[in-house]
Amino acid sequence: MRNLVRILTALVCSMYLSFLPAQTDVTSVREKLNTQFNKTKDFSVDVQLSLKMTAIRMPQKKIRVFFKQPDHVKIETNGFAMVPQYGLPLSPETLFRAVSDMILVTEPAPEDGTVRLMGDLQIRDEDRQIWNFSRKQRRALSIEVTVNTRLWVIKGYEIFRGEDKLIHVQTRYTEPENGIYLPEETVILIKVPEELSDYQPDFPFEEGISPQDGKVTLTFKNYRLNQGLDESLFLEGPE
Amino acid sequence: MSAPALEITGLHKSFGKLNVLNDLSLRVETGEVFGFLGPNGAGKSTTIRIILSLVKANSGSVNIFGRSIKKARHRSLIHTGAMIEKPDFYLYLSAEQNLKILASMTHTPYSRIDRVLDIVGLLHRKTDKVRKYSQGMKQRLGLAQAILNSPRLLVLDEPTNGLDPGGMKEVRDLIRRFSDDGITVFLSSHLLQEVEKVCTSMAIINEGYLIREGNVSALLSESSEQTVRIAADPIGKALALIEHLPDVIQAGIDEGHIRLIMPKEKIPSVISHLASQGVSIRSVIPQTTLEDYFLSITGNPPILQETV
Amino acid sequence: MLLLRLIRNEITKIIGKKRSLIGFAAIGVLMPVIMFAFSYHQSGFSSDFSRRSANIGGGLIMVGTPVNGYFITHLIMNFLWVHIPFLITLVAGDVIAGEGGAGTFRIYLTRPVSRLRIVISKLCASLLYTATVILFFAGLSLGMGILWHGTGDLVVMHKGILILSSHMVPWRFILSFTFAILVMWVVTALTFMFSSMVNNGIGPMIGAMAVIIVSFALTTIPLDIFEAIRPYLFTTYFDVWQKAFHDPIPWFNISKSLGILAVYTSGFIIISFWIFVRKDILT
Repeated sequence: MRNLVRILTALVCSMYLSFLPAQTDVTSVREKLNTQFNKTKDFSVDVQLSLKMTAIRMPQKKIRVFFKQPDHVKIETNGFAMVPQYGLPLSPETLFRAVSDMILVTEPAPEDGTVRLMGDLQIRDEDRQIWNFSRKQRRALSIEVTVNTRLWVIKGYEIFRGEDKLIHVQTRYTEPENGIYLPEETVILIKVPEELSDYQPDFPFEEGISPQDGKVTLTFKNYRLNQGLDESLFLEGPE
Repeated sequence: MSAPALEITGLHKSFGKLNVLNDLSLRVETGEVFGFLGPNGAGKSTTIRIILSLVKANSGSVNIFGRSIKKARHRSLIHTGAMIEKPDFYLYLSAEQNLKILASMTHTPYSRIDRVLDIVGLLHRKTDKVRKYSQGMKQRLGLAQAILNSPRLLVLDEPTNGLDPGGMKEVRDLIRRFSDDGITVFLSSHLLQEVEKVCTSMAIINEGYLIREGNVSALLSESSEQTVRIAADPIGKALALIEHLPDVIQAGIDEGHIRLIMPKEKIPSVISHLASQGVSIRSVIPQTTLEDYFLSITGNPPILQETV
Repeated sequence: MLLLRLIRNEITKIIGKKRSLIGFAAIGVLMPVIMFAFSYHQSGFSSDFSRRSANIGGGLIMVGTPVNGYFITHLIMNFLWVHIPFLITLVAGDVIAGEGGAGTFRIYLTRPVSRLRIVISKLCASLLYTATVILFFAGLSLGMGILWHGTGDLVVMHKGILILSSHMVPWRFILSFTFAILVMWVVTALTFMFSSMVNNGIGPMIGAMAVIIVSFALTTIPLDIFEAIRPYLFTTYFDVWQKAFHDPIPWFNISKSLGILAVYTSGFIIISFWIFVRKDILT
């Protein structure tokens, strides 16, 4: 009987472990994310941008985003637009470069193979273009990154200061194209900045979103992958 | 009997505490050339401005051809043309443009503009801006705008202001011409020689009161004083003899003649005295001028409504 | 018909004066200078705009440039507070007072035309001049702006940042400039009223600008006593032209503002008519 229990326990554990990706530590997660991401050398995509936020009202805009490894991003638009910095394509390594003391959290138990990486966000001045926080705002930031371990893509991330959630990014991916998973829709929730916090919202908010949040939705269409984009295209940075 | 061209009744006007016109009444018959005289500040300009409804009287009435300017302003002014003091125009417009503006207000055909400019001798300068006009030309343009709507009554306030003797003569000739055309002229001027030369009737006001009104000749002849021009030889001796005589108001030499002002009944005795003293008298010409009359009148206290 | 002829006379007089051209000349010179300045310094303006707005969205960045013909025109419309009213008063202040000072009333008011008609014609000509200045301002700023800098979305400040889609902007400009004409008519009427009181064209101009500037100053000082009088100052409602760029357009508020401005305009006009019809012409 005792042996049967041991066998059953081992079987269950092995079955359990078989659902987990092999070597689920921080390093391996990062490596796998990078491997998946590096399948794309460059791409351009049309993005439909809609913003719903107190104190900022903007009609739906179409922008065109260009990306080239490792972290070149260029945005083009007719006229101008207010674009969320945190929903733009970002290589995992560029993201993780600013995170220190990262740990892998597997609790609660993953349903679809997602794991969470948590750590402190340490933003350097040279990363200002990626992390739009002033020096005063950079203190006590932490980040929680959700990784889909089946597709090996970053499902989303959240940035906190203490208990306050400042930014929430969630991405849904398309069906694989040649094994490459591409964002189909990204939803970003941003706290209304202090300067505009006196303005009262004048439109109904969705359930689950507080009046102090702004919601930005990016819908990605018409990907053109690995076109061999020249670096000179990115020389001026986002327009 | 047709209504007079202009009838003023009981006109009062004050500016604050200053009474400018005091119960002024006068009458201008159709066809007259009426002189309106008075020293500076007598109320002439105010009267004219009231006639033309630029100023409102405190009380009294003004009728033009029987129509009250208060109740029937349009119908009274439609037959009136006026030039008040130095005429001011829109200097940045040409003479023709100025007159077109004025003509459009009274349905006057634009063809009339060339006609009036021709009358005053400005047709060849009609397209020049008025700022380029001399004072005399502006004065003539003032007359042109006054007759633009073919008025039956012409009100002129100092029409020869700023003109040289040649210009003055032109204006006098024009006034006579207007009169010959049947236009009643109401003329205010401090140049008494001008008034004497053209006016048939006149009124003199002083300090807002009417002093005299009537026919020019009749008024001048009523004067108890007489001015005579004496051609005498030797003129120096004659003057010396005259100056010592009593009742002589004024005596002096004027263009080779002795000009003598004194009560008219005493003049024969003066002539006799000169002759008795060996002065040769060549001529004695009576010459009471309006100026003499005016000065004698306005030096007296105001007398109301004495009409001849 | 007579009134139309009188209005034509007044327009002839206004056009003939050099001071009437000052407004057009000023706008005509200013527009290309501003347009050129924007094209020369556009990148600097955009960078500055982006830098200042960098924290606006928290996580939002400005991409592209907000500068286009619409944006520049909207910015230039701020001249409607003081500068354009000043140009308006140049003519409105002179239309009665100037004739008094020049002595031309002696030939103009001795015609068999009622003073009421004459003053109405002067008012109409002044209002027409004002509308023409605004339309010229609108045409030149929008026309040059669009030709030089193109069109695009318009960024305005209303309840925070409001970005109006480019196809929604043209009719808003039409509405805004229409309101601007109505607002400037208040300035015209005020200056016209002062013009009826004096015989010097400068006095009404200075008087009107003084009233406007003092009123604006009072509305900016946050004291209770000034708050109490704000609703009675006509300059309080001068911002009605800006409301064409609000979303949603506050039609009730606009109607109320225009109604109040109409009351002031009517009051100024009635007073000027009353004075002009009764005054003694002594010049």
